Amino acid sequence: MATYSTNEFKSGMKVLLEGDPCSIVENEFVKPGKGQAFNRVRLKNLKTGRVWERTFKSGESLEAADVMEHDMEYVYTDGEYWHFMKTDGSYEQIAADKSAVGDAMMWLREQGECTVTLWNEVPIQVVAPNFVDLEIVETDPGVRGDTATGGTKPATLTTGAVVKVPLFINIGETIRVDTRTGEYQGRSKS
Amino acid sequence: MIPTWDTLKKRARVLSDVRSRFAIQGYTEVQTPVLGRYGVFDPHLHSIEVSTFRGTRYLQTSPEYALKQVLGRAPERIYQIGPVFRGNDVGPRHQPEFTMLEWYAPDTTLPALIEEFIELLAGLTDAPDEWREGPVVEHYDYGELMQSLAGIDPHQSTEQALEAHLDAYGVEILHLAGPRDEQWRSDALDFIFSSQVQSRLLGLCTVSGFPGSQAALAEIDPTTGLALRTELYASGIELMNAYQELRDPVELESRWRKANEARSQRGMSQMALDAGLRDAMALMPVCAGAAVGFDRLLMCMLGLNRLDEVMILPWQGG
Repeated sequence: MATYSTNEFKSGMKVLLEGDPCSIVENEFVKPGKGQAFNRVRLKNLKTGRVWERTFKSGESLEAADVMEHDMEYVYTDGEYWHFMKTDGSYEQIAADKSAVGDAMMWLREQGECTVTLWNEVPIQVVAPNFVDLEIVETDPGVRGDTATGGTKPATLTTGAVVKVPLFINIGETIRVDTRTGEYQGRSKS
Repeated sequence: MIPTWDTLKKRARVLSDVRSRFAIQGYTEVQTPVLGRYGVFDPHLHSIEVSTFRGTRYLQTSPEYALKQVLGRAPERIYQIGPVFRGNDVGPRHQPEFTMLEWYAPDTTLPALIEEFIELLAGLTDAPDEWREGPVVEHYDYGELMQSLAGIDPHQSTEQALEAHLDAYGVEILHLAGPRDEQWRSDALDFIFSSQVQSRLLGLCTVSGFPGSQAALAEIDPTTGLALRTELYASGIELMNAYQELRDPVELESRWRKANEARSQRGMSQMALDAGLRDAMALMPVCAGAAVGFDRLLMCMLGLNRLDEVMILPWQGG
C-alpha cells in the first residue's frame, strides 16, 4: 500500500488513521528554532465526519486510503439499504446503509444525481448536490397578499424533509433547497 | 518561481544597506566554506551530506563553527552573509537553502549587540515606517511570557505537569512521543512556546531567559542556570537569534555528548565533534554573536507571508 510522508501532505489527500479513512483538511509545517519540527494537521474522519487536529513528527508517514468519489444516480431504497447506480456507463449498482447515507437521505430524489464516497469499494458517505428541486406534498394553505411580512411556514417535501417556505408557496409546487443549510432558495425555474 | 522585479531590487538594496552598515560599525566580511568537514550536532538541525572524493562533507547549517575558528585566530568584529542548508525543512517560513547573516562582536554585550541590530533595521532604505521612526521594541522574559500566556512555569514544572498541560491543549500531540529525557522537556516547552506564546507576540520584541537546555552554543548564567540567549521577533516570526557565546571547551564537549545521546535515543546518526571548534573555544574573545535569516527579514519588511515570495527558484511544498 502506498504511504504519504508529512512533507507530501496536502489538503484533500486521503489517508488511514487508526484504521479509519480521513481526508487532510489543512497541513502546516512548524519548526520552532529550538525544538522538534512537526506538522500540525487537521483531518476529517470520512466515516464520522468529525474533524480533529493532530501533530505529527515531520517526516513520519501515513498509509494512503483507497477512497474514491463517484458520481452516481440514486435509484431507490428498500428501507434498509439505499441503492445507487454508477453514471460512468457501467450501470454498476451499489447499496449503502443508513450510516453511509446519513443526512443526505433527506434530499435524495429518484433518478437524481449525488456523490458517493467508496472506501475499498464500500460506500461510506453520500453527498447530495448543493441544490435540489423537490415537490411540496404538505403545507398549510397559501395566504395571498401576505408576502411583504416575510413570514414562513413549514412544508414537507416528497423525501420527507421539512423546510421553511414563504407563506405564498402551495402544495404541488416544486422548490429549490440548499442541501448544506436546508434552506428554501426559491421556486424551481423549470 | 521568480519574485517580482520590485522585490529583487529591494532584496539587492537591503543586502547593500546591510553591508555598508556593518562596514561603518567596524565589521569585516569573511567567507567560510559552504561545504564543511563537520556537520552540526544539534538534534534539531539536519546537515545535508555530500559524498566527495575525500569522503562525506556537510553543507553548513550556519557558518558558526568556522566563524568561531576565525575569532580564535583574530579577535575582531566579523560577519558573513551567504547560503546555508537545513535538510527536511520545507514550509511557508522554511526553505532547505536560504541566506544567513551571522556576525560576532568581541567585547560587546548581548543587549548592546541587539541595540545595534535594531538601529540597523531602522536605517534600512526599505524599512516599513514603524521600524524607521525608531522602532518601539518590547523586551520580554521567557519565563514570564510562558506563565502569563500559556499558564505554565517552564523552569519549575515537573514532567508530569508538562504532560498534563499538553493533554489539556486540545490537539493530539504525536510528535513528542520520545523518551522523557531532558531533550523531551526542552521540546515540550518549545512546542508550548511556539503554539501558545509566539503567535501572540506583536510588533518587534525580544525574548530572553530561555532554559539552560535551550542554550545551544550560548553561555549559561551560573547564578540562574538560564541561557544567555535572546531572540528578536517581528509579529511572532523569529528573526534573530543572539548569544553571549560559550567559550569553554569542556562544556562544549559535554553538550556535544548530550546531543549525541539525544540523537541516538531518537534513531538519528551520531555527529563527530569539530576539533577546530573545540580548540577555538579556549582562544575566542569574550563576545556576543547573532544570526538572522536574511530572506525572512526581507519577507517581514515587505509585509509578505511566504519565504518563497522573496527567493529565486525556491523549493516547493508546505
